[in-house]
Amino acid sequence: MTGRLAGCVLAAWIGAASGMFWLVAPHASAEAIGDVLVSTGASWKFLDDGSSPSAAWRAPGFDDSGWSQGPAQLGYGDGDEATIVTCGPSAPTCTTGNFITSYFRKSFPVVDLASIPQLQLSLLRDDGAVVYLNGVEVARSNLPAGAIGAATLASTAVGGAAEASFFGFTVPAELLVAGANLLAVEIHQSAANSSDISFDASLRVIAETPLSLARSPYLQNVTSTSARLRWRTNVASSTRVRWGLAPGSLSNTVDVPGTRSEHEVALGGLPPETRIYYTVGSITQTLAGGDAAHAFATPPAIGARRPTRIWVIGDSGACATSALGCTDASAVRDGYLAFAGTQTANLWLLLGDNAYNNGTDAEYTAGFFDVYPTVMRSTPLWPVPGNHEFGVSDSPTQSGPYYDSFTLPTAGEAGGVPSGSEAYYSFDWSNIHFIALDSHDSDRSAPPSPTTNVCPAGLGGAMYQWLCADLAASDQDFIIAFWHHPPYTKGSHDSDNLIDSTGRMQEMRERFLPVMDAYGVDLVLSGHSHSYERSLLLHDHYGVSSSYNPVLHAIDAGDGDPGGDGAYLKSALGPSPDSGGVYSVVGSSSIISGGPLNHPVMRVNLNILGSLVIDVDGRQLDARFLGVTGNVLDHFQILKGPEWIDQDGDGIQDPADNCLLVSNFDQRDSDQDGYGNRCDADYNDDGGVGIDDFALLKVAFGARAGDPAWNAEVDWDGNGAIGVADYGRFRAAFGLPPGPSGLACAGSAPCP
Amino acid sequence: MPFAIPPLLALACLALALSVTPAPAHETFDETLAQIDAALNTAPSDTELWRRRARLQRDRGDLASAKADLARACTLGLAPALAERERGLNARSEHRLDAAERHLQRARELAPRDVETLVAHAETLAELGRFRAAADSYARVIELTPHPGPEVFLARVRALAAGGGISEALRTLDEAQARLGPVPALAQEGVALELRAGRTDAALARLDLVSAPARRRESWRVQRAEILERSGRSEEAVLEYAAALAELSSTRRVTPAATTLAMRAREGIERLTRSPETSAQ
Repeated sequence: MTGRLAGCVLAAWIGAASGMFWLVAPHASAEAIGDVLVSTGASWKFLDDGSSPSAAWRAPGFDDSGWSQGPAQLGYGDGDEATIVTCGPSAPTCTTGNFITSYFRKSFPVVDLASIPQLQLSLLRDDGAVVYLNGVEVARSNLPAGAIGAATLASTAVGGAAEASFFGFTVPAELLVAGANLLAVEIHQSAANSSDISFDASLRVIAETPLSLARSPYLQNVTSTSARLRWRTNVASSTRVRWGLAPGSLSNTVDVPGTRSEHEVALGGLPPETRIYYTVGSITQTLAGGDAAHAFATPPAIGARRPTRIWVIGDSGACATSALGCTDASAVRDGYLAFAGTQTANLWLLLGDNAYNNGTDAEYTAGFFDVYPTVMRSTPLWPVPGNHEFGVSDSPTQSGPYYDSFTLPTAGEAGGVPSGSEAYYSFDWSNIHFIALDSHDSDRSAPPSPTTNVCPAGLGGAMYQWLCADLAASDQDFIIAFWHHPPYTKGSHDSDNLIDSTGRMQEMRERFLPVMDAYGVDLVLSGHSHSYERSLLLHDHYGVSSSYNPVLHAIDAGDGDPGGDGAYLKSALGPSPDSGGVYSVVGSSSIISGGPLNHPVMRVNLNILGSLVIDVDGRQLDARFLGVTGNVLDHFQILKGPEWIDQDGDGIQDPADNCLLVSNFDQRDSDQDGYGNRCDADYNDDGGVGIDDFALLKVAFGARAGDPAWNAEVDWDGNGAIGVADYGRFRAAFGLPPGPSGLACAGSAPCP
Repeated sequence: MPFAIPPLLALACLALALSVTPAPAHETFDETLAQIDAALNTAPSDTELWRRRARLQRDRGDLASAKADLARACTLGLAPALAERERGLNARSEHRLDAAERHLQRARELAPRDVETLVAHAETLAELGRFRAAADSYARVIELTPHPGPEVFLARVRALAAGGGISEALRTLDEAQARLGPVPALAQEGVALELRAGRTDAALARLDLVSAPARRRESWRVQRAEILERSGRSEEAVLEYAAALAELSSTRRVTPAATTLAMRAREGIERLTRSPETSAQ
């Protein structure tokens, strides 16, 4: 017997013995923690004739005197019912035409509202149920969102152990009133020929659960003028965000009506390129923020060239399943933070397998949200799903924990072409266009002969067609694409093995890489293999590794390291200068799994925990793979545009080079006419190399530095003496203009 | 009909793409099988594990093992709706489409809101040539799904079109675009259907709808020009080709695709300005 029931009986006994009105006595007893206001097995009024009561049935004042009554468990078809509810016209066999909805009401008294901090509802339902307390919905189970009618079917058929399971819900005590209260429940069938329903419930007084964060705030869909803030609370609460341009001056408030535990607030009218500070919480309580750590920077307008830092992690979700995974994921995170210092990333890419092993909600909390709270409160994140997301999520219907956890652009609201799907999308940030693909669960179909038949109008799956349109519409300096399954890998997965990952790596390589090449995508990031692999500057390679031919497929077979072979150059010269890309597997952000790591397109292979940091500044991209101490284990660079071209390879970029096609690292220009000595035989600066210049050469011929006849301008080779070599150079230039220098000779002008 | 795809082929491709096959937690069959077997060692009566094992066997093509595992799950009390769905999927893998349809229909009656069942049923109906019923099943999926992706709408559109319901297919596309925005695949499907019906202007209007918000439009312009050219509207086509070339000249990205597009536009202009038809205009 519970304390409350015992109290009632005792009060009634004392009341009766003393001759007082005994019915008053129970009301003198305040409720206490643990009291049961409605017990399992209690007697309920119910309506089971297939009719639909008016909406007032959920509220206390409704006249239910015509309804039946009996103790729980109520239902039919299982044999464990205390009260049989009529199933429909086919009763008692209940094989067909069963009523979809049955209605239940239970009145109960409350004495002292102040002594009830919170309520715990336990609900047994087969198949679906909505529960109301004093007319307000407080729980919904196995029924769809939105309006519920008498014909609304339960979402799924309940069977087996679930038919006897009680589901718990926290209910706010504010809904109670002193005196009579009403719990109302509607039970819905999953189908008219479903053979059973079951219902029982209890309502218990529990201690108040302090409102707290179940998932710290994180930033979604951040654009130059808007953002979405999301967080989760342990119990339902109201929703409030305050924001402003300084931690102590959060002058803007956004409230969302109603209560919920999954909170999402859209912020609009934000100033571009501005740091936004914020708090999140309920109307009465701030849960986080109001300090320098809870802030993010809006990007500039699309296309503007600003220094941008990107943090990339892949296969980072091992913390959901192993303590070692937690240690390793945290170490990778801390390595990045140590490297970044105060220059943390502007945005953050997740390459999939963000939560092992099946991507459940609980795994997402443990594998992702609990690992990165200090990063996600200030760095907008953009994910793609891996294979492990799809134990419970589904792309065509965009349902499940992955899709529930993230808010991603579907309508081009962050730049790019509308995809209509959160499974694949694009966005712009400064002068970079990002493309996120779903390599696991979305339609990957492409036109016939996709390696040669690239982007024909109207052919291929929705994702393929969207990709073509999106790339065709982008004019950004850099394009970075990311998805989970790598087109090239010899790590814990093998992109040559057509069975591995059910051929997804091959499909992405054969179907989507030709599109990447056609549109000059600069960098492709993937995960899946639990290692770091990074390619040379590559194009047109769609076969297995044995078909790789450096002559055909390598644009630059060097290491791309500015401190090594030099940066990868995507110049502005040639018929299609925006060609080729670098492919990187970043799948070791919480786990390493080795493998042969010997794919021939890869220049760097590391079986080491880590993450990638990308810095884009103007038309220069630097990517660094970081170990767990923040140490740089790989560095490559991509340079784009004419400003990076160095046609004569002397280390001086063309725009600054005083001899465009003649190597002259010293840039010696004795007459200071803008043309280096190595390409300047126009000694008298009259615009052409002629007989007058020959006369000057003759005068100086044989002279050494310091001699009266010495002429430094004539010393072509810079050896301090005018000799045969200098004369030979003069002859070669005779009759031509000086130079070439800068772009003067890049066109049709004859150049030596 | 350059944009037309054989409807059955298109449906088959889409059906394959939409097939809801829960991902194995690990990516190779052997790894996943080993994981499930390990779990079964500790919970040998877990119907869900046996069902997953059956699915895995089916995915690897071992139907006999799939059926044996499913039978075990059923013996242990697998929910009837799930059992029927799996039987239907097994039958479909064996190309016993009539049997698959019967099982899936029963699964659907037992769990009318189960989206995976509805999609599988729709695909099977389409494979059986029962396009109207397939389209209705896809409609139910759309109704039950809070955020259906373009693939689901496309599947319904293609089923409707394959059954001759072009007008309803176009209406479905309009509804889809109203919900999802100007998604390229939806627009292109509409363009193809309009052209199939001989409505060039309507096709162009659908193209314009999707090209309008694009930051760069030259690829849409070239497609527009090609439609105009094929419909004999040469002068307009030349203007579109020229506009595409003009826009291309301002691109930051000189890519192989841009080069190819420019070539298509130049060739189009050359073709049309040489033709007697244009000269006559």
